[in-house]
Amino acid sequence: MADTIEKVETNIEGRDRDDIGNSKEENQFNFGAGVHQEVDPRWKHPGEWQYEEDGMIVTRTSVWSAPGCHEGCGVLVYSDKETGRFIKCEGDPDDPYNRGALCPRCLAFKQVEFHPDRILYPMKRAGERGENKWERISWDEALETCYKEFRRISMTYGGDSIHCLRGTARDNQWQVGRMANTFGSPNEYGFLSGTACYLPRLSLMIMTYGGMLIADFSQFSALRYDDPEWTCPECTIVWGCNPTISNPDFFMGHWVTDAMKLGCKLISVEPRVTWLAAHADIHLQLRPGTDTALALAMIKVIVDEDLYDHDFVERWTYGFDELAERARELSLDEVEKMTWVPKEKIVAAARMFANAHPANVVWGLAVDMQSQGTPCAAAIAALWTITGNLDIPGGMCYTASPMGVDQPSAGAWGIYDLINEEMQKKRVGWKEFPMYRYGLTQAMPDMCLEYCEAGKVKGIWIQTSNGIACMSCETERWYEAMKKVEFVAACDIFMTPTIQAYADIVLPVQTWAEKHSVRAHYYFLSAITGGCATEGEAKSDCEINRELAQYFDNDDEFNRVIERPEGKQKTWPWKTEDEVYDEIVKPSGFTFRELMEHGPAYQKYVYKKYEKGLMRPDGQPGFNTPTGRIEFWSTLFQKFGYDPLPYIEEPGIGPVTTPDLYEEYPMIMITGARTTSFFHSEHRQIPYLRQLTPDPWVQIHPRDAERLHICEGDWVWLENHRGRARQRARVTYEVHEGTIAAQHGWWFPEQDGAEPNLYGFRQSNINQLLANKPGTTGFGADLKCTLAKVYRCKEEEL
Amino acid sequence: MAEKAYGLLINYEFCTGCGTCEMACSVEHDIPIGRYGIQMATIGPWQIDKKNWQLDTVPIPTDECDLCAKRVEKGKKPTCVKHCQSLCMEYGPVDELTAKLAGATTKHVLFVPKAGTAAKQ
Repeated sequence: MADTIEKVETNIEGRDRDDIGNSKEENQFNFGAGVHQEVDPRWKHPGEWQYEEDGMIVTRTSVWSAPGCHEGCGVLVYSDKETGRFIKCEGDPDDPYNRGALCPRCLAFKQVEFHPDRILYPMKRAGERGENKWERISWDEALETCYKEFRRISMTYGGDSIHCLRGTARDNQWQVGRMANTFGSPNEYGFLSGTACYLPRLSLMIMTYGGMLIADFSQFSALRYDDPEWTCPECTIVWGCNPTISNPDFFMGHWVTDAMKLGCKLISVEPRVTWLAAHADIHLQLRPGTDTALALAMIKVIVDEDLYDHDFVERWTYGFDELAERARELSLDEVEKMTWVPKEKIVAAARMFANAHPANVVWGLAVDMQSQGTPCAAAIAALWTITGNLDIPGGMCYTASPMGVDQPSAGAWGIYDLINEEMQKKRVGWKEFPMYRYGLTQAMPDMCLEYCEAGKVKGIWIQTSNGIACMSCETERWYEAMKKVEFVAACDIFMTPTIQAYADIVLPVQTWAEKHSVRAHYYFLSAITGGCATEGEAKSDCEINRELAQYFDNDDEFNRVIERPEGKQKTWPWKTEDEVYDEIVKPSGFTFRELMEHGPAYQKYVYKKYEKGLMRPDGQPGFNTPTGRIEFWSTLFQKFGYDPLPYIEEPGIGPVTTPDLYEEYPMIMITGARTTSFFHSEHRQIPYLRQLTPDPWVQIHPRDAERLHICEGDWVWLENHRGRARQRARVTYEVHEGTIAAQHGWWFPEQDGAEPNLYGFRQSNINQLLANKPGTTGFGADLKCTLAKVYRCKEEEL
Repeated sequence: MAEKAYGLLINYEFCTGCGTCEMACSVEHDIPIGRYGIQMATIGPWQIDKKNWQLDTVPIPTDECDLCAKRVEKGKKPTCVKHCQSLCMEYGPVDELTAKLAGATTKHVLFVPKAGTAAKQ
């Protein structure tokens, strides 16, 4: 590893490690935040925001949680003219994002809205925690209790002893963070080890690319495939992702099939034979967790065969020679041995990708869910960059703050100014893992678990997160640790094992069909319009936060004791939730109401922004990185003490790293494969969706199944040294021999919710077999590449 | 029954088996659990040779499918066609669909469900 390379001026020269990355300017998530943009004059939604049809009211909206989803599809909601209650929803054919299509979860939404188990009223615990005894209370009593408890905890133990939890969030991402700040805390996160969900990729891109990149399938433009400025990619790599099933982060999976219809070639990097893999031009069926070796091997081929974009590399990047040298060192034979991918296929894929212009990569969670997710992300990003695909039509493009609205990084909307500097630095992991300063400014979950176990966490505020049934690894550790917390309040639409086990107060949340909110992410800005009558007394996440915050904002003593920065006592200075949204959408020039009436607002996307000075706060050409260039050799990594280049490391558990464990647990286990039925731990109580996947399944190769005397549909135990879970065998060639793929997020709402059962959250919970063990940077964890053995359940165990 | 037959043309080269058609149908027609108006058949995956895999998913309309008569009457598409994420389903009179089928460059199948059959002369 070279200590220094060609000297260039950087803005981190001479600065202390602890002084770097603490400002919003250094943490640019999407470009153009706060900068007003004109609406692209070439398109306007042709419909009205609300109209009558067949005696029903139709309201145009965007869908974001609850229940959860990443997309924000355009939907038409039909409601009863008299009662206002939900009747049905359909995809909005005029919406450029989903163009009328919808996935099964949205279509089945009626069974969510009117589900008999929905939480409809604020409640307090009537018995001991876990007894499933609840008493209905008023909103005033509920919020006042939360206020008194969190006030006491914050003033007694310090604000940082309050942790605020969320699931994958969406619009409430910024809300949970800001609420933490209102309590005087910097700590907001989910239970996931190594924050192994996009954050490894995200922080890598922010630090070395100065922003976040996504494959361009025309979604930046409302004209979509008809936009003359867009070019269809000639080749796409779908890497560790099953987008047609998962509809991952703001990416509709079927854009890939659209591109295939237009002639785009497909390379699949995927351990399973998914539909896309089976239909790919080249399928690289790799051993789980060896993605970095594969990416570097492809870089090696491209460098050796001189297929890279010299002009781009020379003008706009930093550290290419060092990257090339590291790639050249590789032996393709060794990579073949490590990854299981024949070297001829690696060479063919590298050539196909490098010779295609433009080309892009649709990457997924598998990148993050290995302990060295950060170098893996760096290697894959280098692949698309050296081939000249950066910020060009059909390539890899920078995500925008749509219409200048900075909602996503508003995950940090508050942390830089609502709490004092000393408290900002009490964010768990801030000092130990400086990469956590880039991206969502979350607390570091693995350390938070230790804090919780040590009794340092005194209060927990949960907004739609079912931690013990979904994200937590070594589930029992989280389960026990959370018991030590003095006060827990939770907001959700359904009771969950997590709420039953810990919550003292439960607050009912509106669904997306009932609430107002804003969908601002990457491409366009739109209003979440609600339109339906609210069931029971539910309120939106935003409104719950706003109302609770008023107690703190009016409490001078509290703000004095926690040393709130001068002039920042009014943390939620808005009188209604719509006023909150007026504030958020302000850079667009719309009010919330105007946006609602206008419909999705797209700006005109500008390619090659780095040539035009649009990527940096100082308006100069280049990128918002310390060198102003894209950094293959990261100056920040070097500063923080990490290898500045992407490197190969075996997963922390596996045939090579832990041969003893491999002997005892001889199957390589992937977890978390999606179905269309569920969003993580949600939807298990929805009949139409549960019908699609009635039981948890684990895929196993027919030869392995035969050897282990396992038949299709058998209940089997998946077990390793950490624990076991039972799922039903699905015997299929979809997995490689020696590999199994198990589902995550299972609990059984139809079972007893009280302790010790807690809706059976342990029975099939695959995360009991996984470790809380993050990678070097604090990001990434071996969640999709671990070990297990499989054997049939005995009859008496079922 | 209509004079002409009506059907569903499916470009199953691009059907990914996402299940949207099944769900759209169940919701539209309030179909009980365990029954379907259209149901997915999955053939594969198995490996044919070094390069090729067999994996097709094809939705098949059942006798409960009425080709969304009420929607069609109002000028709308059947809900499965409308919501298909892969945009690989088409509804129409069979003579028009067969004309399209004649020039098929990808794998297609044309279904004429019970509700779409023509009246016997």
